[in-house]
Amino acid sequence: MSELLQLSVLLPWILAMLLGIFVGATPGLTATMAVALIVPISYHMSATAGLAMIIGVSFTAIFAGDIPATWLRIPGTPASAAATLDGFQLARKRRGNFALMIDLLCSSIGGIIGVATLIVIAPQLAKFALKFGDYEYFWLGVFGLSMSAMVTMGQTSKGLMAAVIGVLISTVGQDVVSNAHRYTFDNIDALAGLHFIPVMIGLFGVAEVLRNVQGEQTLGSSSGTGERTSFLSTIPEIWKRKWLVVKSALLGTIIGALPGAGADVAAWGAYGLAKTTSKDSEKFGTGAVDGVVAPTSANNAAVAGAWIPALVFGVPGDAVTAIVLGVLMVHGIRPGPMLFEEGGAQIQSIFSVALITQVLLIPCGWLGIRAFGLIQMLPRRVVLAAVLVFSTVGAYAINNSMFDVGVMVAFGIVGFFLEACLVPVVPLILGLILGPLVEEKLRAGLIASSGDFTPFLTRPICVCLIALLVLAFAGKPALRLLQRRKSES
Amino acid sequence: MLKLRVSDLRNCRPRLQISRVLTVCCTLAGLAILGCSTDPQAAIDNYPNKTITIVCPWSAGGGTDQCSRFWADQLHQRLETPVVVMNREGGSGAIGHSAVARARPDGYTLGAITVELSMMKQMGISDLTFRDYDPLLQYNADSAALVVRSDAPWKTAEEFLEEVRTGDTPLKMSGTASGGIWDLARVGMLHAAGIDPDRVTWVPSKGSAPARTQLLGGHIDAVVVSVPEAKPQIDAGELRLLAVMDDERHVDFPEVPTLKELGIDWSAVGWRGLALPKETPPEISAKLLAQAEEIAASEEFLEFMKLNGFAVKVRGPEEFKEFLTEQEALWTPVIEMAGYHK
Amino acid sequence: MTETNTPAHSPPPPDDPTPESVGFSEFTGTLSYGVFLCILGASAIYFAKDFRAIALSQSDPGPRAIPVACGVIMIIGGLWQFAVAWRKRQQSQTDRDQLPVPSELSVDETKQRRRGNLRALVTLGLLIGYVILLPTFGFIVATIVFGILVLKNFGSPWSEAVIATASISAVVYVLFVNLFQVMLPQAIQQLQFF
Repeated sequence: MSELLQLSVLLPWILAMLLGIFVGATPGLTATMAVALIVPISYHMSATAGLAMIIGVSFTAIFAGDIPATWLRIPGTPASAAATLDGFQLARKRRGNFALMIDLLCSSIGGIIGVATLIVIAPQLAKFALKFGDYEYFWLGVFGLSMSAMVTMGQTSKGLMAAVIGVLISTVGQDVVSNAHRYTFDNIDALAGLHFIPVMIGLFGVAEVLRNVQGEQTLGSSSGTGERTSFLSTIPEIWKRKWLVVKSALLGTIIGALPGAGADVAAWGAYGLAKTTSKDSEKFGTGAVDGVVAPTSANNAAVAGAWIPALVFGVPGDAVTAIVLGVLMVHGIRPGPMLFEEGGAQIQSIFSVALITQVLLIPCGWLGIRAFGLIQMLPRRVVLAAVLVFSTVGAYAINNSMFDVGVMVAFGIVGFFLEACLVPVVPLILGLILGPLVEEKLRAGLIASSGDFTPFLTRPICVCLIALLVLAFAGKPALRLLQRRKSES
Repeated sequence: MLKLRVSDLRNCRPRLQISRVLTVCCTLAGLAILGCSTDPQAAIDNYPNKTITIVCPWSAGGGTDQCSRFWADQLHQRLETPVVVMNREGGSGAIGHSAVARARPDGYTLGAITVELSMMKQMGISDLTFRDYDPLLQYNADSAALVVRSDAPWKTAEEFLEEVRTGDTPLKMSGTASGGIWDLARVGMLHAAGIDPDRVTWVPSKGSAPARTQLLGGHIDAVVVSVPEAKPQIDAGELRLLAVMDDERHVDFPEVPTLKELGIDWSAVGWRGLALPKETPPEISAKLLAQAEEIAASEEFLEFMKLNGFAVKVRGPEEFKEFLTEQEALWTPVIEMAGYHK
Repeated sequence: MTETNTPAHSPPPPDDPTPESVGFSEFTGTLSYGVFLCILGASAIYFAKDFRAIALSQSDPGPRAIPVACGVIMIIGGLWQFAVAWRKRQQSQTDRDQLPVPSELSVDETKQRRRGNLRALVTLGLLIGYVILLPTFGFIVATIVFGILVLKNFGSPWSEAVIATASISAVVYVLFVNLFQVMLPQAIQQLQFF
């Protein structure tokens, strides 16, 4: 414990967390890139300092993605796309700082719940995660896709079609199952498909700039709101929603622990859950505080959840945990169930680092919010120009490819067109993220079962997921019908 | 190489129509051309005097990326010039590999090349072969491994293969997408053992990690992956290594037999190496090779490979080319047999 | 973008810092979306014939299954959008008989609209030009030119355009090149002077 408070650990740790703010808030810079850069440095440090930096970056980045999503409607990471709904609506009502302060505190609490779950029941949760085969992942993907209907009340048919567009776009490139080239038109760069980060930057970033310059007459004024929200004033708001935070964080941890799903799926799952179980679900999407709290609690918890299969089985769930496993091995820490049973000093220090990171997240995140607030004080046209440059460079940086930049511009136009047609674009991102999961698992499942659909419908977890799906959509109307019958009789 | 003439600059003027800015641009460009050294010999003598890029055809954080970053760090120290890793992911490695083949052969672009280069042309993924490069150095070769759960009924590779040969329902195996390297290693193994490859159902997965998860969860019966990938789970007693597909036993698992010892003439290794674009000036590649060979013999390199579980196999340019020819001859029939050829 | 009807959805709250999209009317929007879906769906199905499917296991539905299914759903969805648009039109026509005719846009407003549309179009053109010229002129030159032009388009004075562009380029350069070691596009050899 005392080692953690030494300057040689604390300084790189906090620096890494500040770096995480940048990484998260800039679309195109990812936590994976930051971690890959930190690893060579960490070889020259103690194991604790290296791990502290990696844990610090990955948790901070996932929160910081919400900052541009709330202010500019441009998610910094795919896991923050949900914040473009209610967070952005709150910012339009001049309550952006309030939304972000709530967001920050919930991220921190969600992270603590996720890490606590990791400490207490990681081996059991990991065993549960192993029960997910192709069939179960298929339904999880379908469940996620169905959220596109959930987030687009009033425009459901348009939203669902946007999700289908997203799925179609996700099929571009080399097919994972059969290696077939789809819609590549013999362009070698298209083999990698349309990466969702350039698409996301185009749909949100470029389209948003175009929308602003088209509609606004006073680009010279700043959009700084002058709104003051003290951090403490958000605590009662969150206390009112404590069960929502716990519920979302637990859901996030479980989804994060599944090696096939990550923080983005967790955020949408929590948003959907909050909306279906909420008393005034029609307020979602118009600036409901619940709509800010749920996804952000879940995505930070999911980051902790992703560590569960990595530590228990040594199988990485995503790119960041893959790198972490490498670092652990270099420092002589062998992942496995024994790691938890023996409870050695190393695992203890990993846990302490993860918990303290959640606490440090609050001052670091606060600085990030304030710094972004200063940017908001600039004339709006300067912010918009900067967004265009950052979008271009971000789309390039994700895979060092001009093709991705072209994709970004193309989707900027598509996004602008869809917005003009009053089509919600969030479902398109959902389709793009979940389409590959659904397709791959459906086809792999059918190959494994020799073309038999029964396992998709009869396996216990599948049945639960299908039941949840039915409940999410038919539950409320059925309940209402039942109540009406009762009052009639 | 003074290719840009004044007439070119004049031609682009009406197209841009932003005269003031363009004037500035043209002036700067003109200055640049004047200041630019155009002597190719000078470029060789001054090498290296700017940033060198190592193109990695796989994502940040993967095994090839880790190795590339190690090489970047070492080359940076020795050549005293910045060396960075550029990830160009996608298309089963085709995008990154082709980026290197198309790069200017000036020694400032190096490619990390991997085993997929030996199969992408036959698979119809791209037209590239190792002949489109100047291979520099091979530094790693990890053998493929046949791995099952530790509670599986098969204790040896023979028992497993017997089950495949005579079992009523086909066993399910995974490791990569269909047509990925470990799928082909599986086809080659079964063929060498005289078994119809269709006796096994290959369940495609995105890579080795999800395949191992599926194996641990009991959704499939066996995986083919590289030894270092499965090592953590084997060490933890979750998985059992039945055989390695190599000429020699693996140093970390000396008690596990090779397929050749079992009378199955098949070996499959995932190798990694460095290559330069074709027609890089020989002086420059000699400079790089000298450094690379020094690094490959250094303590740090051996330590790095050991800690990460990568097996060291160093081959110089000529040996590497021979090996690559052999690899092509090894994989081509397997790809045809599996029905993946173009 | 010449549609001049007011957006059909609710007006923005008065203290809203960002404007509501100045888009199509609900009818035109729905109709265009329908056309877009039908075209995209049809081309998805048409180009799916080019996929080279490898003989895989019999039980794999194949690489064409999902894209073609998406295409079919999109065509159906597109036709559905037509139906919705038509119903909306009918509704608004009956409404129009009862409701007072919406006031015509003032001359000023039309002018502003037109200026806004032009500004968006120029921004898009500049962005496309920037992306095309980036690999030739390299990041620094292309960004400085683009930044100044786009800010002039947004109505900045020269001083602001120059200072803002310089700062944006510097921040991006430090963040991406120095911190993250991203090799940003460099000028072609003939134009290199850094």
